[in-house]
Amino acid sequence: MNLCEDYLESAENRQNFYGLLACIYRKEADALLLEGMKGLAFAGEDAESLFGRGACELDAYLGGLQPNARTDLAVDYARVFLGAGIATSEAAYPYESVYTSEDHLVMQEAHDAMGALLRSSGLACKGSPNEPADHIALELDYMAHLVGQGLCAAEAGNGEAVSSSVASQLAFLREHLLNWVPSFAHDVERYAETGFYRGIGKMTLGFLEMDEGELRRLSDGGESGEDAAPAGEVAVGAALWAEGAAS
Amino acid sequence: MSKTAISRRKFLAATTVAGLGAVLAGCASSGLEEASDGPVAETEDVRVVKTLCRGCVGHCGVLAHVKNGRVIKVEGDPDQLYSQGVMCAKGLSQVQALYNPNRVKYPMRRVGKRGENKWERISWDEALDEIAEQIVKYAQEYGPESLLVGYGGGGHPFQGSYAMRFLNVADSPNIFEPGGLQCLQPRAVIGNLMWGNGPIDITSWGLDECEDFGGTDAKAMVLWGINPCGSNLGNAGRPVNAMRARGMKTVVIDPRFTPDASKADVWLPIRPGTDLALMMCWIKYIIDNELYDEDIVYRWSTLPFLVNLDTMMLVRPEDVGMEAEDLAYVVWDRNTNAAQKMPYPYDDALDPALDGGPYEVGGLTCKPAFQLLKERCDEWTIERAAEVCWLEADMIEEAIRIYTDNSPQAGLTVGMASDHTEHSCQAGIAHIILNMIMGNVCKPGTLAQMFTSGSNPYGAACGELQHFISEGQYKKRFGITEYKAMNNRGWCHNSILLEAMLTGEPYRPHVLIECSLNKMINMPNAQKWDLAFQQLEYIVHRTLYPTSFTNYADLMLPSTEWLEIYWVGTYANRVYVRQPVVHLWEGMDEPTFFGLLAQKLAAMGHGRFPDSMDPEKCAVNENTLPPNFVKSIGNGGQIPWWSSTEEMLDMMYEQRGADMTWKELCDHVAENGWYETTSSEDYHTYETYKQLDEETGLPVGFGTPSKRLELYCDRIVTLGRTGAPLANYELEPASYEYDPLPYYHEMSESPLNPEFSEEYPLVSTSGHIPMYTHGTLRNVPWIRERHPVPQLSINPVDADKYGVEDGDWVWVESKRGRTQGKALVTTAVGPGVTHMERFWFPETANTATKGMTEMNVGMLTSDEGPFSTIIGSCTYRGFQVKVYKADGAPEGVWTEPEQFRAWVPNYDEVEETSLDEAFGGVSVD
Amino acid sequence: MVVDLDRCIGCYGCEIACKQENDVDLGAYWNRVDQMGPYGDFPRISAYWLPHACQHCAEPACVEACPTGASHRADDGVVLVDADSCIGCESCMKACPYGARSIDSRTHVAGKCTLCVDLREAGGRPACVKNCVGQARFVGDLDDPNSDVSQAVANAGEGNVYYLADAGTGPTVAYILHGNICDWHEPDVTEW
Repeated sequence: MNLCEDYLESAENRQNFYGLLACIYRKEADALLLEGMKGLAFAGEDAESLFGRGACELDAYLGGLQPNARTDLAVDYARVFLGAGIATSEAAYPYESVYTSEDHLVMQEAHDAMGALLRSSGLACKGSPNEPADHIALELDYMAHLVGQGLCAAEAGNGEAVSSSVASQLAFLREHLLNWVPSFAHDVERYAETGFYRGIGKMTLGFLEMDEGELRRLSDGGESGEDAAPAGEVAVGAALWAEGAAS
Repeated sequence: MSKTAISRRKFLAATTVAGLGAVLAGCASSGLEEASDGPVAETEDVRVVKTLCRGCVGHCGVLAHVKNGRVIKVEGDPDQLYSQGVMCAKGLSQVQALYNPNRVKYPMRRVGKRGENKWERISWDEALDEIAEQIVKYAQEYGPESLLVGYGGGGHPFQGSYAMRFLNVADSPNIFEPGGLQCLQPRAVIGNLMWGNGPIDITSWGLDECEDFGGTDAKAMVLWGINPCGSNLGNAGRPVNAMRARGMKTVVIDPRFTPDASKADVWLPIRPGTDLALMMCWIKYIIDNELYDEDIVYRWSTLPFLVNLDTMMLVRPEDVGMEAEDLAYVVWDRNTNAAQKMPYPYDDALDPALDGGPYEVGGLTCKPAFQLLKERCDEWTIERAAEVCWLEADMIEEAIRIYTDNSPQAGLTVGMASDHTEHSCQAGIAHIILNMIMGNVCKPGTLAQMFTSGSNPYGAACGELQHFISEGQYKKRFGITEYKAMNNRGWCHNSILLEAMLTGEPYRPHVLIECSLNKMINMPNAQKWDLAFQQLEYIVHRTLYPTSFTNYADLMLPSTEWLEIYWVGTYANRVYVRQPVVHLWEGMDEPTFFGLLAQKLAAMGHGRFPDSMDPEKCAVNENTLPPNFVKSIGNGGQIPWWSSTEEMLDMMYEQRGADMTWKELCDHVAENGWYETTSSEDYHTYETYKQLDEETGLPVGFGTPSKRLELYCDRIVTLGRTGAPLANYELEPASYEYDPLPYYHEMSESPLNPEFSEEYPLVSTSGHIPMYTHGTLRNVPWIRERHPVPQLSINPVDADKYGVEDGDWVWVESKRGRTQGKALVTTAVGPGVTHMERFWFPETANTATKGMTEMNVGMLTSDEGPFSTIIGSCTYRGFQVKVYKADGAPEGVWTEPEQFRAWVPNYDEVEETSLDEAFGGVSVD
Repeated sequence: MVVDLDRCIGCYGCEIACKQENDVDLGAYWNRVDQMGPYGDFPRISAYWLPHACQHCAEPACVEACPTGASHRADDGVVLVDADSCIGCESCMKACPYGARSIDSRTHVAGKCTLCVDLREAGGRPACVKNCVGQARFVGDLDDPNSDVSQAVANAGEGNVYYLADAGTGPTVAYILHGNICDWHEPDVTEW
């Protein structure tokens, strides 16, 4: 399989997941989203990984939706992500700056960096200009955007562009998500009360870690150093990759 | 198959969720869109914006460094005339406060019961609609007085005119704040009545020039119950310090050995609550030793004038059969040994007797006002003052002499301390007398000045539409009959309000819009207010972050930090601006909030709100003033409601005939450093009162009806009888006469009163410390780690007596209740006296204590009288307590720097733990 | 640096200014203000406030103690730490007689007052000097008789200029204090 085909295999899923998580963090879950998510099954075979556990928790919550779920979730969202009613800082503020700045404040260097990145990409935030640019939803949206760019390139068969997109995605993931989301997810775990957000928190971190693996795999030509097959056993992926590159 | 292939397959399996794509397409879209101007290269420019701090009421000049829309640093602005580029700890910490992730970001509505602390986000539109509906609902059922607005210092309120205006239109008479009738107003009202130009107070809102920029320092300054090194540091502390370094002598009268006291030539550690006695002692000393300025006393004050002993009013010529004459009064002339008419400005043929009497004049029994003052102060010998005030006689005399020897190039400035006692207005009277009789007025180096700033249409306070509130409703203001001085600003009487909230008598408020950060540390007898707030059906809290008060709220609305708001500050002849540097989330400033809410009510046709959208009805003229309206109000700034603060400012400036819009004013300030109303030479004019009025050929005099300094001010008497000149309508007389002369009585809770002192032997006082103002900054780690808990200062003699050591956790208890403190054993307070500052704890705000009971002076103060006369101040300083050891610190309160780490977590440490560990069975509490 | 203790009003603003400018860790201070006193018997007591930070010693013990050379004395006499070569061994902390150094728990690097070297290089003044409400702090070249610092010292008058007790390192920070405010009391630097 060549890089483009390889990329396409996972691209839509990845784009969907980034989009979904962005949507969930951007604001409270509304009736439409809940209704839509209710019909989905997030948990698969794997119930042990962080992602898997989160997915189970989410499914369990969605399976048992109460009539006042929307309000319950709005309250949880407000408490965990807006810190509503919290007179100290014990919440999971969804801003990279809060986790990476020395003073645990919003609007610090991470906000600057995201702002610059968005501007140089010709993108702007929809809605209010008063929101920090390093909100997790915006960062996830940005990843979705990058994934989408890679997807277009892959559909056009442009291997070089795909490779470059993969590199950008990996860099962004590491520099602007995996540098802080582990701590953030930890705080979600500590403070969220609904299975919905507890599930999502785990799934977020789990997904990002898995996605890093996927991007590494794509950028290493399907083989990462650590996962390298012992000599004599040629990884199927690597063989496919080699074939694809040659054709 | 390799691990890679396996994990790849898992990844695909995990992320394949059937139907996800469709769901997303249906209800989600990216938060990003194409920028209209395409990709933009990064720019590195840093903008420097001139603004004003609002860490306290000082408004020091600030340069805010802004990069790509974010504030990276604040520092002092050297262009600001008073602060000259310095900034204190509070101002410097504002970036931490501005970007605290804990800030209220959006309007939030309570879910579940009050106190459960569950909230959900709503839109501003929903919030304003809901508030408007509640206001209308309760107004219809219980009358417009069902609406109450709360206010207060700390947390960047504006200054009340917007809230006042809203209430006037809503036809409701009550706005309240912890300061209200016991913060600045006692002295301000009296100062305005006595000489037309406010109190002599270098640290408060209407800042007096404290360093004469015409080039002449004061030779001496008396800092009386005022703490410039801790309050308003930039504008008052800095200049006082500079003048002191240049040789100005100072006297500090304060129970605490403050840094100003440490540098004073004399420190008088006065017993809290006795300041008035000492002031009267000083007046007596000045009179007995004939140190007073004769020019001022004879020619420019009402002291030589005869007073009708029956009516307490100054005698007018027509009262005693003489021909009526404008501005003329009656004196006892020593030359003719008879009563004579004293015209304005003066008759050199007369030699008025300052003392003596009673004189029978035209059937009236009279005495010169000076004589009455002398009699009133006569018992206050130095020895008596020393005894009552717990001072040493020779130190008192040394202090007086420093003041009198250096007059008339001196000033005597009084702060909050006396406002917080039963003598609040009396100290107001005494301090004006003390400045004026020594001639310390309108001369180089004096604090009392009448500099004329020329025309300045750029002030930010709006017209209050006082003509909208109806007579009947106005007269329902709590306490309006007994405490008429309240009508200067319109604050109602807190204790009468409190009783009303609890008992429903005379009527009960139902809806509260609360604009201050955390009332609970500043209201007297906090536990009683706790019960009272629970009675109100609908409470809105406009706040920066959740505090103790938010526990009572139904709506929690985001307000704005000072880096996000507007204001205009005038210092001498210079006008500076506070302009928004950034704006975060959906924070809404006060003028905008009231403007939009008013528009909602107008659209609903509620009461007079539709009228308040009509410029013609807003204008003040003979057509719009209601019948019986007696107060003199101006037309400036009386504009219809607005949708944004900038819109308001521009409308107001246009209405006042200004040349510039708000933006143009800001540009002007950016370019020139400030906007100048008049030249410094024209501004710094002395003995202004002697300047001749072009039309009349007479001196312009002072801003009083008599044009003299009304050191005997019979307008104080009238105030009590009718409410003039402060009240909108004529009011019923108070149950007692307002006395224009000071008189001292021992406060009800006094160490001399065994009813209290047997069980509560120590005198308690309070005050500011430089790190905090009111309820602010308790959640900024760098400030908290430096001063994490309030300290209970106690003298070693008492510490010994009560078994307390330095650093011990103690209980401090009054008749109302008890709270804790951390003992600071020090000679900085005298035996028999303790001091503790007010405090609350964010870390326990969501617990049963609401963060307000652990170490809060508000638990000790009394909501009950007796209140001071004229204005009704309650007592915050000078009440009785006992101190004893506690078992330990209050639960949950953070005291060590490491504990504040919770607010500034080190995420590297978090990362080090294995994430599986983090998630496997981690507790969620 | 010269600090005029007659003018210091104990507002602690300089502690915060320093923290802001230099990102000093919670619990650590590069510049600290201590209250000295009150001394004497009530009511004739006296006190002053003593800001203290690195004394930029002429023969700094911290420089000597530093195994990597990270601590060094610059040409203008200011003692600096090169963060990159600091290994966080804390030898300098133990060597300093004035408690001027601390280890940042986040970076494990020693830190202390640099007289805001970056600000000075850009032509400005250290944060504590600029923001001081009492206008009590001066920085400059004591060898230049026309500098702020030299003028302040000269105007103070003989007998009114003090240095912290010299433990052999030659502290260079001059404190001005006149007897009418308070007598100089040697602080117990072991508590710093």
